[in-house]
Amino acid sequence: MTELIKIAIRNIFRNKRRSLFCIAAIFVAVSFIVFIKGMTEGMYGNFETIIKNFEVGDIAIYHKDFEKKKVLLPLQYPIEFENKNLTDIIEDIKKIDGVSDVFPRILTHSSVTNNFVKHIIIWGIDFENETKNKNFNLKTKSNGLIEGNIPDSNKNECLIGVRLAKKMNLKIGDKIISKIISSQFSDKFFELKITGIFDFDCGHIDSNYIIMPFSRLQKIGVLLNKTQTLYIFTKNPKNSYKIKEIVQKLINNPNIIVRNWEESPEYLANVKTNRILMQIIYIVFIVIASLLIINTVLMAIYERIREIGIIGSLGMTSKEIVFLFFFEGLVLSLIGGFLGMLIGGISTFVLSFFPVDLEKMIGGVSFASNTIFVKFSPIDILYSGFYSILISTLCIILPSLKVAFINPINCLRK
Amino acid sequence: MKKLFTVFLMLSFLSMYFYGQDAVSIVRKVDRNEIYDSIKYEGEMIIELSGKKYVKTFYSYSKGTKNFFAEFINQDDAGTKYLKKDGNLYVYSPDTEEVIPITGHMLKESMMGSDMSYEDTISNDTLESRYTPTIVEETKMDGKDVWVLELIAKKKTESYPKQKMWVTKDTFNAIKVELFALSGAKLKEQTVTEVKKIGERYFPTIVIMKDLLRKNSQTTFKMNKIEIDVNIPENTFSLRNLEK
Repeated sequence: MTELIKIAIRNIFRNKRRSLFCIAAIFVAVSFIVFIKGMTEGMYGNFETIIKNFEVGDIAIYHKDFEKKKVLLPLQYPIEFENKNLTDIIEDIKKIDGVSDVFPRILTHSSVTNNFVKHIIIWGIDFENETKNKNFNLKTKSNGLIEGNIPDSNKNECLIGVRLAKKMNLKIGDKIISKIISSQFSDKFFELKITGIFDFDCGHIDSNYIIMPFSRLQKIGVLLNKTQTLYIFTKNPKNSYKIKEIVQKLINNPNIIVRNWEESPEYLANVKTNRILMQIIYIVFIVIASLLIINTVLMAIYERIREIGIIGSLGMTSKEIVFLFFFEGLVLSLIGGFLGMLIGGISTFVLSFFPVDLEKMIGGVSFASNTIFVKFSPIDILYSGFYSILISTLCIILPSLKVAFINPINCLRK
Repeated sequence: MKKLFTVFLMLSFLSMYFYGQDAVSIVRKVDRNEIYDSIKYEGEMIIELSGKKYVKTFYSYSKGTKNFFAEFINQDDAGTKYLKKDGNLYVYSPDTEEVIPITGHMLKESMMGSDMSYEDTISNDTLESRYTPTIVEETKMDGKDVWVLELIAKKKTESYPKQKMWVTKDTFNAIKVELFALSGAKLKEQTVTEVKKIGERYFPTIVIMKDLLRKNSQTTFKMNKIEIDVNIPENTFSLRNLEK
């Protein structure tokens, strides 16, 4: 056995060019897989954060009729709690272990009367409090306000998305005359003064939304002391199912739906679909990388058929030949794999600090963030490396098994 | 053969002449019932959507085709006023104490979340001036003999390029109207459930409108204490009156 190991190592150094070529192929494939894994996980992570921040929270609460007509963003189905007002219920939910924040929000369609852009979406939130513990712009890790001030909740003031402002040709100080349908089916016309511009690096929101103080929109929409939706953010999203059950018992109203973010239609439509897409992309890249390894290693094996014939004719058994090539392959795989993991790991680590501008890459605006942060995960790196080593080792054993049992004379003839 | 063809052609033209004239005169009589020089009434709009009901009450004044004024008096909308002056529509909102013009695409939007658009509510132009009618068939509806007319808009800017209308033979009321888009898709359905004789005319006083693009939705438009062709002061239709 020791002799075979010595022969194997000597063989590796005997033809340095071939060995380097094999190592390089494995190294490129492994580092590529590590990088792609980081990229796809980063994209998925981004989608998830965007959906939670803007669409569903960790847990969302709304009226069952609102869910049926959600595409219309109606104000006619606010959530009401028996024997408790909105403030009390928010305080009660905040007391649940694991809950970090609870925010009421309103989202409604609006017609614009004084601009060639005819329709916008008005988002009523407590901007200041919501962005205390959360970044709305993941790229700059900030609240997203790039110009101006947060609107006064006692006035008809708003923030406008940077792309919407460009589309509507508006700036700070300009006014938007909007109309919404209130909770009582009344036309509510009002004038909003732009006090600030936001950039959430999210194409859909930056292009269509204006943000008003929640309390102001609540008043205009005649919601009285109610809200359209409540969003709960948890300290650890893994506990959201448990917290959801507690909230359901607390509210105890069959007309009110409490949804975990993974149960929400937005998640299912966007994030889950994207997750599957990311996995498919990852598998495609794994197949490509595997083919690279297989091709390179097979080439190396078949190049040495005469050599196999020679050592076979000199008395080495088939088992010994197989072990010899297996060990060679294992060493090359380990070196290539280790280098691949190292370089791939360093590159994902570095890139995790530098956002990838998706908009520039694909030349368009995506629904989710236009920026991706590559995810650095040591476990993913180890997993990718192990997989690649496994593939390359198998690629060496299988053909060498085949070749080792051929008659040495036939090998010499080839 | 030639003679037969000529006779056939002449008969076709004659029948088209008579039917065409009839369709126009039917529409003219419908207009005579529904179009007024001026009107004053108390109105009620009952919006029903997915089992919920919202009732809006208002006073309304209208003169000719270019002037209209309405003030809502139900609690949720008290003080909200609409003014159509010289063809332009304005709204006054008591919440903001501002007068806001409603123009362009806004006119086609739903009024108060109802099945009726602003245009549907304020329009007082004759059908004869806007549409070319033809008689499609004669049938019965709700036990009444009716003509079924097809109306094609004369101008491309008309909100409903095509209408189908069931007109009663005895009172010349359009008891059912279907409103179509340019594509042929049916947009709305209007039915008249009550007609009152006011002077020489049979005036529809309860109309139900259904916006077919919305599920489980209809709006009932009721007119009470109707006074037609009365004197309404000009200053009723002024921006000052809107802001009062």
